[in-house]
Amino acid sequence: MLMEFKEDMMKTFEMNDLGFMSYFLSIEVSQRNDGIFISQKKYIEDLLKKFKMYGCKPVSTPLVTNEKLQKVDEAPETDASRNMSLVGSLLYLTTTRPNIMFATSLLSRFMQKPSQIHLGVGKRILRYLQGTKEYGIWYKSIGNPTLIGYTDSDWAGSVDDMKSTSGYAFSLGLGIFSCASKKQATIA
Amino acid sequence: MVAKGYSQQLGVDYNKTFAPVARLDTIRTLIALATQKGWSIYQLDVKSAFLNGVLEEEIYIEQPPGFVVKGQEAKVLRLKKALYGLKQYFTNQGFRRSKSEPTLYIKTQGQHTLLLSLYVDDLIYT
Repeated sequence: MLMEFKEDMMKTFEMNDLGFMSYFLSIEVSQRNDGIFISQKKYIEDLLKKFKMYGCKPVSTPLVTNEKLQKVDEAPETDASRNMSLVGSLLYLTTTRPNIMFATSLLSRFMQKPSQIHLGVGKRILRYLQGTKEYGIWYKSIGNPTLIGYTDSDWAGSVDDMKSTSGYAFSLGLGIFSCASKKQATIA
Repeated sequence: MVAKGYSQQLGVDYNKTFAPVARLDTIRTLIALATQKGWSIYQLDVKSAFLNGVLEEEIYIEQPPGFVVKGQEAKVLRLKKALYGLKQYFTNQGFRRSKSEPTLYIKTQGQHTLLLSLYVDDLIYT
């Protein structure tokens, strides 16, 4: 059926047969007998080059623990468009790196008027990525996969308006396939 | 039918989107599912997505900016070939289109199932 489909497609349209899925939308896909691994190493490297952070010193976490960020702080303002571009790139990176989802979502709230402090947060995420370029999502095939969902929220984590941030993640077997981190729209 | 997605009326047309972009969640779900089923994922890309596909209905577009014919500004153009003809092809081939994700197509034949996800001119299938 698979072969038949491919041959039909090739006949009807002008197509390139790329064989096994290995590089799709800048996601590196490695298909093995025991599962599939997806990562974006090249994308991270390009990102580090773009923000002139290539070869920077790595850190072990994407955010400083318990640091609270505010919309307005004493630090001087910085270039907003650079920050927007960074947030956009990081959002795309969450495809294979759900663990930077919270940090990215946090950073995205300060896109309007980023200060030096916010810029530092962005840089820290990049430094974290520097040390974890090879990370990705490993979909391992297991006997009886179950669909599992997790969700949590952070009890009024935002200093500016007391709104909470909630997140969710769904996995089938071991690999996560759908997740998000989002500030709630109303005050709970 | 017109070729600007946002100006369409709901329910009038079959095609709602004009660049079929899959959500990344869909792609990851496909990967997770293929892993658990032990399937391999394959990839194809269209050499010139714009020129492929045959149209069966009449589709009109406004004259694109910069290509407006002087003195005939009010006229519209009729498409001779589909801008993206893949969707119609799949449904003609017995694929069912997912209700919640317009770029996901499913075809079952006996015990076999073929899943297909489209990203403009790239597609993956398993």
